[in-house]
Amino acid sequence: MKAIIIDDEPESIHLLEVLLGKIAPGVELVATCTTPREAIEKIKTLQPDIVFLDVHMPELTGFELLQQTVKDFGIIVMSNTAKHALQALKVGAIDYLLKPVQLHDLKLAIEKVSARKTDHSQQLEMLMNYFKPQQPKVRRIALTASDHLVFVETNDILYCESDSNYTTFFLAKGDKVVISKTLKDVEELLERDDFFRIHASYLINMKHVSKFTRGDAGYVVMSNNQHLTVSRKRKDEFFEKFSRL
Amino acid sequence: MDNTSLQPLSNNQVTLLKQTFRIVDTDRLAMRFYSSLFAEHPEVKALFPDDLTILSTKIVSVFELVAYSFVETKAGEFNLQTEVLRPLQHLGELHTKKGVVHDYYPSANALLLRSIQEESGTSFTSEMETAWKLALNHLTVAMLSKHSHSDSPFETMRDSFQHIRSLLFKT
Repeated sequence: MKAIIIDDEPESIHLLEVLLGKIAPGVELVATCTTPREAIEKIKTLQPDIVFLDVHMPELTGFELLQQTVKDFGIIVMSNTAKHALQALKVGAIDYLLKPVQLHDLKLAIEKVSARKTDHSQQLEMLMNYFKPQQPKVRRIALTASDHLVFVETNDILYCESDSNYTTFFLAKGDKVVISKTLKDVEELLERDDFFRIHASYLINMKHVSKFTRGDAGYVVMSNNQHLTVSRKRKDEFFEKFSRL
Repeated sequence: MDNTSLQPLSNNQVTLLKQTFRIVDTDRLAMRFYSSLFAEHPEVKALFPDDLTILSTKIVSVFELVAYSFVETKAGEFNLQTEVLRPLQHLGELHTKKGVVHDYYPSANALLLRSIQEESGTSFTSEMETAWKLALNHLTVAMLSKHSHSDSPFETMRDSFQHIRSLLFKT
């Protein structure tokens, strides 16, 4: 199998070259490229069976490079993070290797290319491996703003304030969104996030609490300097939660 | 046939929809959905951006919005609250502009349902399946309804319902 390595970091190319030499005698490294332009040319002339492609490169990303080539070769995407796994899915990558590349992972990837295991279930299995629960998650919720949806990261919500059957979302950038749901409904929607009902009127994002004053009239100071009252009956529970932060 | 022909959900079915989000890992759900979509309908890949990271959180948020937006319109009958209909219509219009044709909706709904089932594992029940089928029908009708400038989105929803219904229930 003819292989090309495309990576702007010569050290990474060298490491992969050494690993390939150890575990893949059947793989002939026909070119290494440190720039996307050079890579496009080499792919065209050398017609590799397998391309090891770094995502992050100057001028063009690995994915942009692929758009400019005829993809009749096995693609193994390499990256420092897992966040490009979905993109790798879209370009039909056979495997996705986290850098620095490990011998065992590389061996499996080569086997997949050899067997042309590009079917859906295996591709999915490969991608799922990079979505492990310990990764910090970004969660969005869709809010209805009169005639369109507003997608908001839950991390960007400072607090929500009740106004009878309506709830106002106060966002980190200073925006407000009013939706036609009770605060109880919103509390249910955000139960998987780090929110706490400090008062009949307020649901706050614990990540945005700057200060808590526990007196008779207890209150929190949010990251936008807004002072919000903590109700008497929720004060102890809140304090316990706040202390654990 | 008017919009009321769209089968309402029961209180228990709405609870099951909400429960789904406590069971499944939403990132994995989105991944499974897109993976199946691209595998079975590679022709739609071009409609999507290269980086699906943001889109995958948005698509889940829409399903979640739907799950949390059923309100009791009659005793024991839950329908999507009026306030979400126009925003969902708008979302449908954006999809149409991107090239998503009406015929894609039944396939996408089926794939989503399968993805929920696969991600829920043994927690997935036939009741949950029915609840999601009904909810996705409501979502599809809302997204495909033509926008009316009147105060009643139901007027135009009624006009287009027959067409949408034929899409949803064709075999």
